[in-house]
Amino acid sequence: MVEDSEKYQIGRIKQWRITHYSVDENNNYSSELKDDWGAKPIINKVPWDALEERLKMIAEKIKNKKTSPITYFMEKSFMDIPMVAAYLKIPKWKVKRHTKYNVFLKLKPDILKKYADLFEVSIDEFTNLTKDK
Amino acid sequence: MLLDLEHRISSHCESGATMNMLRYFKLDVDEPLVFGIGSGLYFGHLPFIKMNYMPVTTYRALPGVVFTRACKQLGLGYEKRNFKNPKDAMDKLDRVLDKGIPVGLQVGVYHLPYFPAEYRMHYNMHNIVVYGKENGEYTVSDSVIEEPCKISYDDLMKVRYAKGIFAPKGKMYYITSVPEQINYKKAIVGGIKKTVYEMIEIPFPLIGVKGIRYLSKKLRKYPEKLGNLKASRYLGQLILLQEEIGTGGAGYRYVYGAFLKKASEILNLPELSEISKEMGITANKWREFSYTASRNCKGRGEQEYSYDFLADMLLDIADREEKIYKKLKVVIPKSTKKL
Repeated sequence: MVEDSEKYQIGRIKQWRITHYSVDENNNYSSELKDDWGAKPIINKVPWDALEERLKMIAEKIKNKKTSPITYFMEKSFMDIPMVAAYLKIPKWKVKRHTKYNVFLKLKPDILKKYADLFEVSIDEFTNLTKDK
Repeated sequence: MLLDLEHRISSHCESGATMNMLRYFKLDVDEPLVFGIGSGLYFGHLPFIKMNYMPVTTYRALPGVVFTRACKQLGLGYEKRNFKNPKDAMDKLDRVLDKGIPVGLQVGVYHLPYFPAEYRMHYNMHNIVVYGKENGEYTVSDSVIEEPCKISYDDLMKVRYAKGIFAPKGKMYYITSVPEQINYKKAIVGGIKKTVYEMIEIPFPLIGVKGIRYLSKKLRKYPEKLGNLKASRYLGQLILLQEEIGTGGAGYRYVYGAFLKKASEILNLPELSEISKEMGITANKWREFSYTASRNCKGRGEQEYSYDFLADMLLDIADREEKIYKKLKVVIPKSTKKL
C-alpha cells in the first residue's frame, strides 16, 4: 500500500538504517546501524494492511452512496475529521457534512481543490471514484 | 551561514537533538547519558488514545521533557516557546540562528520531504535541530537520519505547524547559557531519582511497572474480545512502537542499560553496574517478547503463540523491572548536596 510512484519518491530515503543498541554477556553495550532488527518486514506491514482493508470497505460504501471520496482520501492519508478541519481552517461540522455523498457532488471546484491539495491528489482522481460505476 | 555543529546519529530523536545541541556547547555527552539525565524512560499503556484506530503504548516520557529535564539537571539556561503565528515563529528562528545558536524544533513527520515513505504517518513528536541557513534553505540535523538534510522555508513552516494529536504549534527550544562547571554526578542522580519515581511510585494504574501489568491483563483478553485478526493488529502496533520508532530497540531499555553502566563509572558505584546488567537482561526479554509476538502478526493473524503465553512474558518483565527500580532507589545517594 505504500505509495511508490517515482514522483513521490524524489528526495526520500529508500534504505533507512536506524541505530540499534545491544548488550553482550559481559555487560558491554554497543550501538550499530541496522536496517532490520529481526521482524521488521512483518511489523511494518501491519498498519498498511489495516489501511488497505479499511480502504476497500470505504470504496464499497462509496459505491452504495453511503459516503464520499473525501472519506477515502482522508483515510488514505491517515487523517481524521478534526485534523482535516484544522489543516483547511474550516469547521469540523462542515468537513463531516462534506463526507456525505450527495453533498460532495454539489461541492464547488475551489473547495474540491483545497481538499485535493491537502490529500496530494488531482481533482480528477478525486472525482473519479464517484464516476466509476 | 552554517554553524559548526557535528551531526551525530542516534536512536531517539529528542535525546539525539539534545545531545547534538549540548555537544555544540562543548559538553562531553553521548546519547545514553542525555537520555538518562533527562529521565526519558517511561512506560504507559493508554487505550483511550488511539493512533490508526489502535491503542497507544508509550515507552518514553512526553515529548519535550528530555530536553528540559536534561537542561535543568545540568544547570543550563534554556528557552522554549510556542508561536501562534507561523511567520513570527520563522522570524524568531532566523534571529536565534544569527546569534550562532542551534535551535531545536518539534515537528510533524508527515510533511518532512526526506522521510522514508513507509513511515509517513502523522507522528508529531519528532525533533530536529536547525543549524544553518543558505539561499532560503535550512540545514537540519535530524538525528535519526545518517546525513544532515536540507529543507526549504515553506516545508519547514509546514512541518512546524502540523496538525493532529500533540500538534507542535511551532515549538522551538534552544540553550541560552552554560555554566563553567558542570556537575554530572548531581545530574545523573537527579535523573535516576525521577525515573524511579515515574516507574514505581506514581499512584496511577496505567503508568510505570503497573502499566506493564495492566497491558498484560489486557493482552490476555485480546483474542476473545477482538478476534484473531484485530488482536494481531493491536499487537503489531505495540511492537511497532517498541522497536521501530527510534527506540534503540526494546523500548529504550538498551539505552537505559548503557546509561546505568556509564553512571556507575562516573559515580564510582559498582552496584549500578550490576543493575545495568539486569537491565540488559530485561532488555533482551523485551526483545524476545517482540520476536515471539511478531510471529502472531503474519498473514491473517493466526495464533502461533497463545496470548496467555505472551501476557506471562510481560508479567515476568514487569517483575524484573520492579526489582531493578527498587534496587536503584536503595543504591543511589539520598542527598545530592555532597556530590
